[in-house]
Amino acid sequence: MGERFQTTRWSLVIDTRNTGPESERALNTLCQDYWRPLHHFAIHLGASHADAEDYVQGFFANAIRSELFERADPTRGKLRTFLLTAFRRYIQDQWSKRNAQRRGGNLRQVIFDNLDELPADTHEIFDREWGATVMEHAMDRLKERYTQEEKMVLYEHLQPYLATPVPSGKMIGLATDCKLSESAAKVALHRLRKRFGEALRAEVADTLPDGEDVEAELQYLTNLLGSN
Amino acid sequence: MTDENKEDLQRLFQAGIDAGRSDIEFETETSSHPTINNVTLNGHLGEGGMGTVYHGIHHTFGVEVAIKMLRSGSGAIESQRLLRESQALAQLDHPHIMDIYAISETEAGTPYLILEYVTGGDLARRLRTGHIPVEEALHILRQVIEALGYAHQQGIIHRDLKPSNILFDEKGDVRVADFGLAKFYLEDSMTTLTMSGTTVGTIDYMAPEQKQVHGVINQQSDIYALGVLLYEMISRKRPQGVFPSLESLGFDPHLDAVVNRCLAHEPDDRYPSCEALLDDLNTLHTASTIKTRGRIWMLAVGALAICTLLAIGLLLLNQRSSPPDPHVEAMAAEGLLIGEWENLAPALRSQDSRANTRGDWSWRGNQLSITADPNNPAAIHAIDIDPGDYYDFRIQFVRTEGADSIPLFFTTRSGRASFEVDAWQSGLAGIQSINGQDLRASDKSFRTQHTNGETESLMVSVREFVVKVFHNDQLRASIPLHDAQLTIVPIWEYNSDAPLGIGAWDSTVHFESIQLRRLTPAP
Repeated sequence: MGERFQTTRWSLVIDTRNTGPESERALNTLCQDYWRPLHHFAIHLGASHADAEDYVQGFFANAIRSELFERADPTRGKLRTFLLTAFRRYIQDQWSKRNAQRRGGNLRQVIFDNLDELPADTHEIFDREWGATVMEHAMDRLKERYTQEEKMVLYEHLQPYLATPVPSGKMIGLATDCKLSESAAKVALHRLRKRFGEALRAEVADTLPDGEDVEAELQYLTNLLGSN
Repeated sequence: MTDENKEDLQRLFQAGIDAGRSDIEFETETSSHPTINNVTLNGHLGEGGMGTVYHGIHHTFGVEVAIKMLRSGSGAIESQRLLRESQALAQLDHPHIMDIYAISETEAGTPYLILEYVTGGDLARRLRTGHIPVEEALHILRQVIEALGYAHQQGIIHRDLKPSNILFDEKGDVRVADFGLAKFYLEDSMTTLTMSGTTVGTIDYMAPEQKQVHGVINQQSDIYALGVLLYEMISRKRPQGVFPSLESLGFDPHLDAVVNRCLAHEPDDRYPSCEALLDDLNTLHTASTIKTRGRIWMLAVGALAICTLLAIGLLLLNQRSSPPDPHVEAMAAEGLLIGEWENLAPALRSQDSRANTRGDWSWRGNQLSITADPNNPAAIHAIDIDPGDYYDFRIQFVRTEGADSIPLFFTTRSGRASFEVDAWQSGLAGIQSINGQDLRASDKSFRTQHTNGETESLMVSVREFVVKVFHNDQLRASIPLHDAQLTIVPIWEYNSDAPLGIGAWDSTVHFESIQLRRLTPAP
C-alpha cells in the first residue's frame, strides 16, 4: 500500500496539528482531497467559481490560523460533517463581514445570512460531491494495489467491469486479453470486485469516527446518488 | 454532477456494497452431501487429515471449486487450523498459491473453505506414477520457491510443505496448498496454534528444528523442506538417515551442493531466503550444467568409496586375502550389501536350451560356445534367472572367428537393454539403444579394440538410478536412468522374458565364465 494510504483522512486532520513540513503536507492533502465538495457547496450557495475557490482556500488558511483542526475530535463525528459544518461557519463569517462593510446585497446574501436554515438539498449537493471524492480515493487505492503488484494490465482490462457484468460471449476475449484462462479471468474479476469493496469500505471508514457504521454511510451515499 | 455521472457513481457504490457481502452460505447439511447455496456439489474429491474435500460448481463465478470441510464434531485445534489456513490464503495472492474464495460454516457450525479447484493432481501422485526429469523437477521447484518466497515476504511460513500439498493446474503450473500449519511469524499472537509439547509438519519434510519442542522455526525451515522435495523429485527417495548424495547417483555436483545447503542441519547454514535459493538454481540452469557427467560421477564415487572404506574397510579386508576391488568399495559407498559372484553355467546347463536360445550353442564343461552361422547371424542365449534390482553381470569370452557384436543383455527399471562391443562393424561399444537412439548416434558410446583369440571381459552394474558398463574391468560409461529409456534394438529381439542374456553376431565365441553378483540395500 502506498504512502498516500498509510494515513487515514481523520489522521490527516490530526497531522495538521504538528509543526513543520508534516503539517503542511497534511493540510495540502486535505485541501486537495476535499476541495471539490467544498467548492461545489459554495457554488450551490450562489458564489461564482472564482469566489468559491477563494472560499475554499481561505477556509483552509483560516483553519490553521484559528487552530480549527486543533479542536477537531475524531471520536465525535464524521469528517464529512465536520468539514461541512466548519466550512459553512467560515462562509457565514465571511458574509457577515461583507454585509457589515457593504449594506444591501442580493437574494443570495439573504440565503447566506441563514445558513443554518439551508434547504436539505444544499447539504446533499455537498454530500454527493463528497461521495464522488470518496469513490475517487477508493479507486486510487485499488489501482495502487494492482500497480504495486505489477498487475496493471489485468486491472486496466477488468476495471470497466467493476460494476457491470461482462457481456455474454465476451469473457473468453477478456480472458485472452488478460492472458488468463476463462475461469482464471472470472476469478480475477471476482477478486478485483472484492478488493474494490474492501477499498471503498476502508476509504469510508477513514472518514468516520471509530465504531461508526460503515455500511450505513455507504448506503446513505448510494441512496443519495439515486435521488434527484 | 450530471445524471449520467450520478448513475455511474451509484452503480459503483452498489457494486462496492455487494462485493462485501458473503454470497455463499450453506442451506442445509447432511453428513455426506452438503448442499450449498450458489454451489452445486458434484462429488467427493477425497479425505484429508482433518475433513472431507468436495468438488462443486460455483454459480456466481461460473467456476469449479473445491470445498474443504471439517468433519462434524471436529475439535478446536482443527477449527483453528482451518481458520489459520483461510487467514493465510486470504493474505496471499500469488499465481502459485491456492486461491481461497470464502470461509463460512454450516448451520450446524461446521466450518469450511471454498477454494480454487485445480485439475492436474498433486506432486505425490506424480512421484508415485513415474520419474520426473531433472529439468521438470527444477521447473516445479522454482514455482514452489517463488510461492514460498512471496509468503515469507508476507510474514508467513508454510511449515508443512510436502508433495501432497503441491498441486498442479491443467497447464501443469504449481499451486501450493494447505497453509493449515502456517506460522505468522510477524505476529506473536499467531504462533501458538500447536499444542504444547507437540510438533507440527510431516516428519520426512521437517527441518531438525521443527522436531524440537522449543525449536526456532523460520523461513529456513521451509527451505529445508524444499531441499527434501528437490532430492525426492530427482532421486525418488527421501533423504533419510545416511543417504547417498545426488552426485554419487550420477547427478550434477552443483545440484548436489544446492540440495546439501538446503538440508544443512543448522538453519543458518541453509540459504538465507528463497530468493537466494532461486538465484542459485537459476545460475545452474543458465549454465546448462544440470545433467549427469560420467567423469565427475567416477570421481565422486571414488571419493565416496575412500571415505566409506574407512568405515567398512577392515571388514572387507578381513573377508578377502586379495587386494580390495575398487568396484566393491564403490558399491559399499552406495549403501548396498554385496553378494558373492555366482557362476551361472550350471543353472544354464539345466535350463531348456531350445526355449532360451537362438543359434548353434554348445557346452564344453562350464564353457558355453556359439558357432558363427551367416544364415542365422543373431545368436542369443537368454538367461532366465532373476538378478534382483541391483546386480553386476559379467562375462569372460574369447572370439575366435568373426568381426561383429558381442552383446550382454540385462534388465533395469528403465527397460531391457544390451551392452555391446565391436558393434556396427566399426568398433562401437556401449548401451545399444537409449531413448530410441542407437550407438551410432549416442554420446555415450565408446570404441574398443579387439583381437580374435584374446580373452576379454564385459560387465554391467545395474543400480536404481544408473547403469555402468565395463570393458576389460575398465569403467567406460555411466548411464543415469532418471531420464533414459533403454530398449533392445530389433535385431536382438527375442521371444523370451528372461532378464539376462548373452549373444554374438555372426561370430564364433567361447564364453569362459558367466557370472552374476546380487546386491541388496543395507538395512
